[in-house]
Amino acid sequence: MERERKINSRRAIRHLWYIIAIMVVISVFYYLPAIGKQAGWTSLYNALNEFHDFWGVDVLGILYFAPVIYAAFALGLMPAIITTVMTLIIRLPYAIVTANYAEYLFKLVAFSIALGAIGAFVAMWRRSEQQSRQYHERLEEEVDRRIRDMQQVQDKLIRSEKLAAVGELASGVGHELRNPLNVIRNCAYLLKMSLPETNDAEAINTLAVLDNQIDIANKIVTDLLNFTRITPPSQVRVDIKNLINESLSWITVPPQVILKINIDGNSRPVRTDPEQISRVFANIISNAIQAMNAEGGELAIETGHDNDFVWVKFGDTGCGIPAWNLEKIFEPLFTTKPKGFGLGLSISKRLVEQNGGKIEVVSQAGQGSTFTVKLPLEKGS
Amino acid sequence: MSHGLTVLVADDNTDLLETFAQILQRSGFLVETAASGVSAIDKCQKRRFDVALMDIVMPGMNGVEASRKIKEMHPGLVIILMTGYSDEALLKTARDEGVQYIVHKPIKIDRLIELIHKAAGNRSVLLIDDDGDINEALEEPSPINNRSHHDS
Repeated sequence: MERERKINSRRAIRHLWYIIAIMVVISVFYYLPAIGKQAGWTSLYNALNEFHDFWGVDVLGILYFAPVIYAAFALGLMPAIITTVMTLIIRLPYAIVTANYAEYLFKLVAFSIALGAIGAFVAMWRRSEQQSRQYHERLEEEVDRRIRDMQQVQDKLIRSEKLAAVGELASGVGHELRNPLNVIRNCAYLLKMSLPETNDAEAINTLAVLDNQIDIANKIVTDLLNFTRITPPSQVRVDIKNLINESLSWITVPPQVILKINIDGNSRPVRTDPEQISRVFANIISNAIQAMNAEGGELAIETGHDNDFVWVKFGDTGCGIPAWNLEKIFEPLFTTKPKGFGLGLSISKRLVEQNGGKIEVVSQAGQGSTFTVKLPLEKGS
Repeated sequence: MSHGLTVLVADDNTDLLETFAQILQRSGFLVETAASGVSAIDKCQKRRFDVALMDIVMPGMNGVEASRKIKEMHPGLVIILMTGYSDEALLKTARDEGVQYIVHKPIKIDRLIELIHKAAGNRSVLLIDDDGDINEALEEPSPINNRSHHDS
């Protein structure tokens, strides 16, 4: 704001100098015949003086339109009027020295009034034109903003539709896969029942392995189903520190990853769904660990708050995310990992957003990534 | 070995239906099978069962609807519903309709047999959460089951 005012005042001063320069030049021309006469430059006097009364019109006086209109155009109404008054003052001595000064004075005043009126008209036209341009600019900005909003809503919709489709698919796969798993389990059981009384330890063991593998396959289905099932949040008052500790308790941190936890920086409670947000934290932590798994590194977790949000930052020194992938990481089914469905971050984003929060990421390939989860502060806390 | 408990098994997956029937028969139950909800109701009209083991998702009439109709005919019949994955609303309806047991596929056979014995002999204490598996149900304290004596 301050900067804008400075720019405006610098611009006004520049225009003022231009106006003064134009006035000086015109005034020189205006008084040149009179100066010529005094100095005895008859030819100059003869050449120019008739412009003061060219078919009854003072053509040199008309030149004063230039600074007035310039002032009206560049600076507005008041400067235009002031310039008009200045032209009147500058031309007064000429009127006084003229023989028929009474008539000339009348003409001068009338001319100046007309000049002032035209200046005022130009200034007002210019102002209305500026206002209309500003209005159009504001309108364009508003339209751009609305388009951007709509784009965001549409992106969100596409994301959630994609998620819903994945959920539906998972549900279908879950149902379809569990039937054959059950048949295999039944067959294994029947085989075990049919084994001779002597009991073949190897065969029994093999059937147990088969049964165990059915449990593993079923766990994959269950994880996928649980992962894609998003329920409305049931928000309670929670301490964010507890949620982080709980998420950490679910994850095995390999020895090559060093945890640096500084989560005492915030003591403001939030109202959120603890189960959903713990899932989000666990997902981000586990991603960070995977990003550092090969060469090891450091995962720093810290908390804090501003006026509206409590934030949790997860900064890793892992492989980072290339710029061209940064926008895609929250898309369902986008993954760069050899294993995984590409659902973790898209679900995390949805969970955080449905709890009124935001999830942000800053990353540099080869340097690491920092994910920030922001949750709204409990009102009145 | 025979303990005379009659079990109706209903599932639209023939392989699953047959293998369940074989296992339960070998374990001493008297088993009848039905490949759909409608067929299960028909069987129940013809004779009385101690326990009905029914899949939820079946073409035509689903297990929840079929179990409601069967309950109308035989209020005392114990119904165990099997599910691969069903939505919460359907499971809630099933519980509201008086279905006492909902078990998740792939079902552990030993525990299923144990559950059938327990359910058939203990019709008064019958409550299981759909999130828990049969294991949890069996861990609940229950009255003595006089009719249970199977081995597997």
